[in-house]
Amino acid sequence: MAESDNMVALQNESVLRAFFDGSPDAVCIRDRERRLVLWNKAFSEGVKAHCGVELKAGMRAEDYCPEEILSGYEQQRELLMQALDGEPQEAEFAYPCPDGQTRHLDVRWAPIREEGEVVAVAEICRDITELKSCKVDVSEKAELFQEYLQCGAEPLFCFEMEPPMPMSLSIDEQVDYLYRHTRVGEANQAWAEEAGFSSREELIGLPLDEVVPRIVPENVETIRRIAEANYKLDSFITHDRMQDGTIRTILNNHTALIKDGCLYRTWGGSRDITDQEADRAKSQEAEIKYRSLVENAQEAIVVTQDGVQKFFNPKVLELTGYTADDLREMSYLDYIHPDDREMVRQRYSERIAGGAPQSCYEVRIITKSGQTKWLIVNSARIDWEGRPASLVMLMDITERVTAQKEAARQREALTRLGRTAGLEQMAGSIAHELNQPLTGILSNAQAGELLLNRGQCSCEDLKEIIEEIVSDTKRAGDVIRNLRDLYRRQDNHFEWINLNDLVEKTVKMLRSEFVLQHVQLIKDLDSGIPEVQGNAVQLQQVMINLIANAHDAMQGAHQNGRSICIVTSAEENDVVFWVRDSGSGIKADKFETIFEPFATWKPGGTGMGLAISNSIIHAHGGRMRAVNSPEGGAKVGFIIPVKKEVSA
Amino acid sequence: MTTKPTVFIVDDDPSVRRGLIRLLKAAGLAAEAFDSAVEVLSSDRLSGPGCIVLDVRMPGMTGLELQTELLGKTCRMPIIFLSAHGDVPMTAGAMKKGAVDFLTKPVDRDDLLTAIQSALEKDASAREEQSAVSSIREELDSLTPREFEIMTYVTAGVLNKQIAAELGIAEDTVKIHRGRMMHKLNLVSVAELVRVCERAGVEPASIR
Repeated sequence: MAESDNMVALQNESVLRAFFDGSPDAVCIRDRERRLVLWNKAFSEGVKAHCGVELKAGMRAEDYCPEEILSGYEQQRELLMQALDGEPQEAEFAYPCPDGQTRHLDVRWAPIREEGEVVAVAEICRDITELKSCKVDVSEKAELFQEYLQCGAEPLFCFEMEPPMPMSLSIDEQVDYLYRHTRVGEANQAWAEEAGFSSREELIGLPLDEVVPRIVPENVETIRRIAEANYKLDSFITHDRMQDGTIRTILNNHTALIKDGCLYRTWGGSRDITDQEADRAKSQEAEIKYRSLVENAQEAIVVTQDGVQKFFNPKVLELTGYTADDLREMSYLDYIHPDDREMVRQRYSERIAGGAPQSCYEVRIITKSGQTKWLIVNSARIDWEGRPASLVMLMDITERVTAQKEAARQREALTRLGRTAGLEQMAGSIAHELNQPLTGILSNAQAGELLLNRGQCSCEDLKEIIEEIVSDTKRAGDVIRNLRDLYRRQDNHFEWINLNDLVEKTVKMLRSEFVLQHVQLIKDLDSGIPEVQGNAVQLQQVMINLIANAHDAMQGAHQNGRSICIVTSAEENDVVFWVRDSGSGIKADKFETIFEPFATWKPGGTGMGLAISNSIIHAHGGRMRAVNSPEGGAKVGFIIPVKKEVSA
Repeated sequence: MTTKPTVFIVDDDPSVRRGLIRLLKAAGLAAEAFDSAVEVLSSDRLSGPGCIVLDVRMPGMTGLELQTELLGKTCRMPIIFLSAHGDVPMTAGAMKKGAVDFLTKPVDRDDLLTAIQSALEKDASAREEQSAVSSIREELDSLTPREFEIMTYVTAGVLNKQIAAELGIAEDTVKIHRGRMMHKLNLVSVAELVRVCERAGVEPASIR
């Protein structure tokens, strides 16, 4: 009943008319003479748009089509004529449009019969321009994708749903549907290998469950995630269990073809980033580690760029007493001791400019509270935010420096004590050296006085007298100068020294002592010895001590055989100084303690001489030596390394 | 005996030598210099009147050693030591051996001239004494052995009779020898005889 009612309704002309007019396809009916009988709205609008003509009944195509369109009409007329003969026809045509574009039309002709005779033909034109371009696009892309798919090193795959899955399903239903209706549509070798198959062919056509097993909860979870994102999900990470049981970290991309509310297929790619991930984790771990190292370091760490402190760890605050805000506003030089600023500035500029200045040195700073601290600086050039900067590590060595200074002060005090002891030995000699010229001076002066008193003094006499006084005075001055050099306070001042010069100076001071004691002095100085870094006063004191010891060692010997030989020589990287005497040598049991304090074998000796000498030579990086010479007598001396220049 | 006394300066240091020579010459003294002890010893200039100004500390032979050497050579020229040290033990040793003075450098003119003055005086009187003794010795040499023998008994305080008994001769013979002896020596008293013998270094006879 209902069906026949419908049929009645459909046959109703007005209904047909509405359907006819509302169709998106352009439809017209032509009689056997190809004249228009009936046309719908889409047809008239299309003709108006393309040909600029208002249609009238009875028009043929040549009546409303412009030349350029009509040129392609021959085929159409042919097809129309065949349709009039009773065969339905269809064809695609391309039309050039006034706007320059080409439009594609799908045209069909259907014969209309009345009592078996074809009386008219219905012409249905559909614009398929959009569809056509879409198809071309898709096929081109598919080719590219295929190629990429096959050659890519990264696993790529395609799943196809058969039949396509309605997107209206709930997520759970979708997952269920996918497991039932999805097969591998496409796969490349990389994916096959990753999934544990020997070739991609093996993989293609397999159901989803065999590739991404449903019993693995993570798989289901992953599919759920993809579904929730409408199958379009970029850069999501999964932890997949491989066939060998290992778990790999995978970076996934997923896209899908959804049409008419249905999911047709999905495309995806994945990349095993387990190793990169491990590296990243490592570097992250390392960063955390380094950060905590930097934060908790014993050293203060500063990064300076453009003279500004870009970074500093908490130790810097502790060290300088300044707050972080203070430091950010301060130049890196502000808390450096004024005397050290120029040095630090120069080294900083040189380093930033790419030079290689001394990178480890000592420097003083002044803390916020005004305290001076000694630091050891270690700096290196680094890239900070892409530009050169200076990474500086600072360690507080104030205590060490203070202790060193104290040790040096004590050594100096000891040294001075030793010098006082040496003074006794030298007093006679120095008095002699000084009194000789003084005798000359006084005698000359008093002679002059006498002559003048008597009016017997000629200009000639006076000139001679004055000349001699001047010369003797200079000589006395030299003696005093040498003496002052030896005894002036000069705190650990190191300079370049030629030991031979020092020997000559020392021997000059002691000369008269040798004379009195009938000691023959032999100098065997190697003129080629290199200079050494040292403190002249201290080294001279060691020489005096050694010569005086040699001298004392011969008190018992017969006058005729008394000799002291002073030797200097160069040995590889050392300079050697020896004093050899012709005494009785050092007793075997004394060698061990000879350089220790209070070890003496001389009546009235303090036992400090060699101990002090030893500490002085140690401070010069050298060592003392004592042996018995094969020719008899003792050989005592020292070795000092020839160092490269030590900068402050 | 009119030779002018000379001051001999011995010092290895030319400054000292030049200064001292100039000073002494300005003071009107004759002065000569030696630069070493060896030069002094090989010189024949030390017999005349004068004195030596000697530096203690010299290379080779020191002043003190030179003093000993000179004593050995019976050179009695007075020595004034000049020392640039003035250490006491050295001074004592030198003085014991007859040094006139021990001065320290730099030496003041007055001190030096005073010392030289007294050294020269000492030298002069020693020379005077020396010449007196040698004239006495000449007189003693004129005695016969018997007269000399009897003289030693007389200076020992022995009586004529005892001398006769000792020598086994007559007392009168003793008297004759004694009278000639006193005449030759131009003496009148035994006291004078004793003094002359002392100066000449003639020991009295020893009596058993």
